[in-house]
Parts: sequence; C-alpha cells; structure tokens
Amino acid sequence: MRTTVGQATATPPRWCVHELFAEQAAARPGAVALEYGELKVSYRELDTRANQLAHLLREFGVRPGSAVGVCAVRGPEMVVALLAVLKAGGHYLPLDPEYPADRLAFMLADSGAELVLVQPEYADHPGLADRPTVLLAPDGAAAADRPTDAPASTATAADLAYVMYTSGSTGRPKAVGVTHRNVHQLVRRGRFADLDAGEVVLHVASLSFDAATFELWATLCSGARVAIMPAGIPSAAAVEAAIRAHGVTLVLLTAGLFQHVVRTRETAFATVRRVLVGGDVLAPTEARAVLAQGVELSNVYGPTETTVFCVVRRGVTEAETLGAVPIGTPVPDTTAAVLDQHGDPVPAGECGELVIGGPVVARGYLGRPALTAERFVPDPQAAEPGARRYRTGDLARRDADGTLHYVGRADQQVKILGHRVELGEIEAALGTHPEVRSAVVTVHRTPAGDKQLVGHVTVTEALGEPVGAPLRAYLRDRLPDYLVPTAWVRLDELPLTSNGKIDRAALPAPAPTATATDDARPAPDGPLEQAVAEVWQELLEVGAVAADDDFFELGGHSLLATQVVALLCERFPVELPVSAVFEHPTVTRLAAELLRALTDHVAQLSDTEVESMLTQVSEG
Amino acid sequence: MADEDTDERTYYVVLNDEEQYSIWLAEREVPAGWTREGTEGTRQECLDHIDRVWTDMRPLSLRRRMEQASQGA
Repeated sequence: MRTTVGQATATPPRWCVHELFAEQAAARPGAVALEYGELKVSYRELDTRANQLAHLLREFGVRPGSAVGVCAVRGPEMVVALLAVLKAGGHYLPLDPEYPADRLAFMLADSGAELVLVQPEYADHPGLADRPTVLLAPDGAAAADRPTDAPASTATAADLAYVMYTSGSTGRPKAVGVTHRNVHQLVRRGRFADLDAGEVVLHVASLSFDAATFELWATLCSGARVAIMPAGIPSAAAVEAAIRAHGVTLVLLTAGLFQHVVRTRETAFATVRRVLVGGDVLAPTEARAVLAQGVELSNVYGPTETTVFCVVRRGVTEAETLGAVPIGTPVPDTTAAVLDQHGDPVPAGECGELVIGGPVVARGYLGRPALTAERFVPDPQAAEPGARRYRTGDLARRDADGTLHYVGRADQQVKILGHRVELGEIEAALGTHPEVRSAVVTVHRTPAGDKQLVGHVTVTEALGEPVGAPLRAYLRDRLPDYLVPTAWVRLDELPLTSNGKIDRAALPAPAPTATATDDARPAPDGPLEQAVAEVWQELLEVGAVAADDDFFELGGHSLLATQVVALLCERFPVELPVSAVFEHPTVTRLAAELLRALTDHVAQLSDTEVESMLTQVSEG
Repeated sequence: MADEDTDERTYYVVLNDEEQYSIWLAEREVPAGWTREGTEGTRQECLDHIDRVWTDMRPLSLRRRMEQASQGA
C-alpha cells in the first residue's frame, strides 16, 4: 500500500490521526472526550481548542516534517497540544518535565525540534533553554483569537506523528519515528480492542511511553472517552480511585504497575471490563486474581518500533497462567517470524529472534542510518515489494498452532517497571564520572521479588565511601530516574572471563544491607522516624530498618515510593510529593521532610482545627 | 548480539524504491523490491558505508512531495 511516486501528492483519505479524530468530533460534538478530575471536555471543545492552537503553530512555521516538543504532564492541555501539533502537520516529541535538563536538551537538539509547547510551570526548565516556546494555558489563551476551524491538512499518512526516545546501548538514546500510517494501523485497521464510543479508557501512561499512543488515539479516534489520571507516578490507590470515579472500562498497564496495583488493591480492576498488560512478563498470581473477578485479561507485546503492540493474547485463561502466559498472535495485517541467525524460520517449538512485519513497522531511528539499516531489514515474506520488517532482539518460540511465547532478550536490554533499559547506556553514563574507573550494571531481585538495577564499580579513592549516594546523585542529573541503579557494589577489580571479557555471572550480588539489629546503626527515633521505618518495613518486606538506611538501597523503586507517600498521607494529614522520597531517601531525612510538611499544614489551620486534630491524634 | 560481533559473512548493501537502506546476506536471493547498491563486505563494513551515504532518511516519495509543496508555496 506504499504511495507510488507518481501519485505522491495524492493524500490518502482520513489516514492521519487528527483526521480520524475530526471524524469523531463531527459525528458526536457534544460527547465527552476527556475527563480530568471534575473537569469534562467535549469532542467539540477539544477539536476547537486544538484547531486554534494549530493555526498559531502554522504561524511559527510548523509543517510536515517539523518536530514540536511538548513539555507537559498528563491533563487536557497536553492532549490539546498533541492534537494541535498533528493538525498543524508536524509531529510531537514528548518532553517529560521530570527528566534532567541534559536529557531534554539532547532530545531537542537530536530531533531538530524548532519549537516547544510548554505548561507555564515548566517554562523555566533548564533543558528548554534557547528554544522558542509557546505557553499552554488552561484557558487556551495563547491562541484564543485564532480561527476555530481546522487548518487545511497538509500531512499524509507517510508523515511522522511522533518521535519517541528509547534507551540506547551505546549511551546515546535513539529516536523512533512513528508515522500516521503506523498509528492508523494500531487504532483503526488493527481494530484489536474493538473500542466503541461507550468505552472509558484510563490514561495512566507517561507520554514518553508509547502506551499513551493507545490510550489517547485509539480512544479519541473511536469516539470513546479518556479518563486522565493526575500527573506523576500513580499509586495503586489513585488508580483504583480513578477507575471508580470515571467508570473506566479498559486499562492498559505495564506488567510492573499491574502487579503492584493488584498486590496492593486486589479488587482495583473488578469493575473494569478489559485489562491489557504489556511491557514485561505478566505476573501469574496477580493475573489469576483478576481473572477470578471476571475481568477479560490480555497479554500484549510490542516494542516502540512496531507501534505500541503488535502481538496479543486476548482473553488469557486461568490454565495459561499456570506457566508463562503466551504473548499470542499478531494483530491483523501484521506478521511475526521467528528466525535463526541466517534469517531462516526455525521449526515450531524452537527459539529464535522475533521479527515483526507489516504496517505497524515504524520509519526507523531518526538520524541513525546504520542502526536503522541493521534493525529494519528487507522482508522477503511481505506481499508488498520493498517492505521492511523489524528485528526486535527478543527471543521467542512458536507453538504448532501459531501461538507465540516470549523467551527473553538476545542482548543486554532489560525491562524495569515497563521501561526499556539498555544497561550499556547506564554504564556509559557512569563512565563519564571522573572518579569511576569502570562500571557494569546488572539486574538483581529484591527480597520483595522486584527487579532492581545494581551498579558494580571500581572507583578512585577520591569518591569515598559509600559510593551509592554520590553516584546516584550524579546519574539523576543525567538520566531519567528509571535508569538510575538503586544498589551499588564497590569492587577492587571487575571479574574477567578467560578471554578477557567482563564476567557478568561472577559479579557479586549487593550485600544484604545492614539493619538496626546491627548495634552500631542508629535506630529510628521518635514517632515520625518510627512511622517512616514501619512503612518501609511493610513495603520492602525487610526486617528492622536503621535511621540512616537508604530506601533505594533496601530495594525501593518508584512505584514503592508512591506507596510510601500514600501510606504516610493516610497516617498524617499532609500532602507529600513522590519526589520527597527521591530527595530524602533515608528514614531520618524523610521524617524531617514529613515534619516540615506537618508544620506547614498546622500553620494553615485555625485554632479549632488544631484542637480537633490533636484530639484525633491522641485518640488514634 | 554476541554472534554479530564476530560475523565474518559477506553482506550486500541494498535499498528499496523509497531509497531506504539495509543489509542482506550475500548468500541469499535479494527479496522483491530491493536492489543491490553495489557495496559488499562484512556486516560492519556495509553498515559503516550506509552511515556515510544515507544522509536523508525520509522515504523518497515523501521527499518529492515535500519538495513539490515547498515549490508550490
């Protein structure tokens, strides 16, 4: 179906994401498109505001081929911004405001983005320096005087819809370019999810994660409703509350978040019709719990390079959860080959590299010709001459009946909480620290069974002991949080194999962290430190916790940090951001932060409120 | 992958009608819609060559359409 050269100016009808959306907006202008807390935005209102902003973007010169950064958190403004970029003919580049300045600056330079749409609170983000910005005001003020009708569509299905960065093994993140045709295939042609207009889909993914493509565009191009979770890493309680408040019927979650939510709130999904889980291996115990509640569960597989997901097991059965749950079969028009190292299909039951073909295959890695040529290769099985297929680097096997099973990775890529992590990227970043001689990063299981990144380093004496805190702080200025190791092992020398390569198998596991049973360690002191320590013990499934223990070195990660905050906010009348755990990772420091938040809270109360609070505390 | 570091087989540089480049094992028949660019060598030699010559990664039809659009503007 490739556009032939002679007809290149002919626009295929309604293939672009914004055109599919506009069809729905015309068909059901009064229907609710977005819900965010108490706020509801209709299809007409979303369409109108995006049209106005698109006119403004055109004035800035946005056209097909233009990358436009969107630095915003989940919310209606973000959706307006994305849609406006597409309507103007450009493609969007998600810029997570939580990312370090270096990372955003790299993405802006690498993608060639000429303009950034930014929420006012992030306008001074150091990563955006020197780029022209347009502020996204909640009332659409920036473009309020622009025409409300859509600018003439200049983009075609072959143009990019968005660019998404994924971890790169050499230390440089790579930009996957995804076209309108790719998204069209996911949201309409594939018709996988049979979304109808009555559906309410939870938007819980970060925009830098391509699950958001499905949550937003599959929903809005089907006339259904998006229920937007508040910004930040969601806690299990917040996911459950949003599901109930908005009457959510469908959710797509990473395997890590799914497991976390079901463990914490077992019936969180009981009222949801369909749950899709992807990004990592589906946890069988939690899968069975959800199946017992009558929920339809799907296991979905797909890298960003094949547009969210391309292989699906819809309707996982309880019997399938007794072993590794299969990833299923390809979505319509998509092929999945399991190949040996010569590129030949392996027999049923044997393991090989999973290679995906069809219209879901993205354009490639922007600005990376060799890497693109290596991974996006000729597809000899395609009906369409000249078509390419994508070598996933994932190992899979196929049953005689065609069902695919995920086996593992062929390289050093791992998954942490649904994020793709190239260990080489973290090692490269560590290597730039002046006191680090050599570094290897591995994955370790914590006592609670979660995956944890471990940094094994040889360092100069100038770094001091322990090495974890300074190295973590160094990486947090350069990498997103999910790429920062939480446990550290200092070595005199890295173990080598007989042929001189680093022997990963011989690397020691992180030492079990010393705890308060160790007489030399300070015990938590006072009610706040004790409360923090109790919450950690419960969540981390560890014994006693010392006052100077570090949450992350005990196996904590971002999802557990949301639980720490949620549990402390249940005990104390405070609002604590999740970032408090990252910034104050020891018991003593987090308790001090808790005290500060409590003091702030009390200062705002009337005398009567203070008295009533003191009564509650003394009774509790 | 580890075996790719030591891959000494001969590859061709190939490209399709959209002038998208890739590599193809020389011992195998080039698939329909792909032509040999002329370069052959190890995997790494072919990829290094592609890094030098594939400077505009947009598909050919898209490049032509955008050129027409900018001339018409």
